[in-house]
Amino acid sequence: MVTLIARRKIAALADGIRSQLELGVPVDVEAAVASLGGRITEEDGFAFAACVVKGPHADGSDFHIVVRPKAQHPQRFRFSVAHELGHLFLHMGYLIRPEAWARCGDYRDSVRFRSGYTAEELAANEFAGVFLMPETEFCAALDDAVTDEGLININKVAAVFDVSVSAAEYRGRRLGIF
Amino acid sequence: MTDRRSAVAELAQAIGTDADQPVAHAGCYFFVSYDLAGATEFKAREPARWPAIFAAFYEVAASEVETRLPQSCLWKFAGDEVLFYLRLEGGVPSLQVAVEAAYQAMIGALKGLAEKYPKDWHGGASDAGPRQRHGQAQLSIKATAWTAAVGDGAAVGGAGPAIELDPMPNRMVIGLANGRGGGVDFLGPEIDAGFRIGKLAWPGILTVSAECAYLAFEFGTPPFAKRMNIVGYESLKGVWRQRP
Repeated sequence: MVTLIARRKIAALADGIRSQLELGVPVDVEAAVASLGGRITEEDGFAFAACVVKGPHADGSDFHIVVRPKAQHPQRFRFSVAHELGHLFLHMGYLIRPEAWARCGDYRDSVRFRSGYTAEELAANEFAGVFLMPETEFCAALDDAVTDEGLININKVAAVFDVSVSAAEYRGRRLGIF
Repeated sequence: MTDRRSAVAELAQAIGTDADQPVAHAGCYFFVSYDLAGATEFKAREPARWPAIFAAFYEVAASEVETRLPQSCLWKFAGDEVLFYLRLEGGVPSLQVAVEAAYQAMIGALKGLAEKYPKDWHGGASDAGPRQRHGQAQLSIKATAWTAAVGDGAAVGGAGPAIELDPMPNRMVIGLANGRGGGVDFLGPEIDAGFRIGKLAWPGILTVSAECAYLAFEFGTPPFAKRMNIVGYESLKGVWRQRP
């Protein structure tokens, strides 16, 4: 469960990292990972949804984010990468808690691999939502997506951030808008 | 480390991610439990499918509660049950909101799970016994809500986790993991009462304890009054007798 206090911290963290990396929307997740010292590996057929493989690796990177191929679902790919970045910071302590980072192993994103699955998943989703859809830009996108009937065209909102409709809806719910 | 990563590290350390800040325990708490009804039979019937479907239950239930009651905390997963707690900061109005949100979360979870797994989940309230589809029982959720008071108390040490005894008799909160929020557990007769009520819960219905219902009605009619019914009177073994 992500409490209100934790949500605020997660939002501050996601906003702060995006800002430090000087990323606009739609957020370039591949550039973000590279700037943070990591690398994205696209694989298929593994047992888990995605994972973070801790380094150092031979290619000089500190971590690898392993996700399903971008070509399969480009928007899911983007959200998955942002979600794994959430795990990297929140649950592995990368750049934040050196002792936790030194202690932790790889992070396999699957209910079969660890306990506390749901709480950590929700926290990582929160991070990904804020990272990809900053509040100010999200609200502006909503304003731009109001139809003549006074409804919100959520497809248009999702397109601004290059995310799925369900991700945009979730972000709106989390902001208390929908 | 590059300057950019150093800047990110500095920023991240300043913000911190220690969501488990030490918390003061004293207050009136709202508890809600969502129990998977029909779980044992389903596990025996669907040995390959039940893990994914149960994982969806945990995820959808937690997501619904988080969305509708964002200040609540996950208490624990206990077998086929997931429990949440909320310290009521706003008195009775916040309790009324919590009861309504707990009910809507159950309805939302049932709807979401029935959409995702229509064969396996019954998506609504069941007032005529467990629902069946093609002769097989469908999964549902039994929800239970109750309240308990927790006071500030002195910790009692020992080899195990610290237990804080409440100055009020018969109540206590047990603090694990150095009393940080993420590891709090609750013990005491009022907690036991909630679990006893859970045994009387029915699929698709939110069962509310007598105290919780009384408090919700104490200072006005809550929005959910028309949907709340007294369905019976039960003696809760070992609970009322020791009540001060």
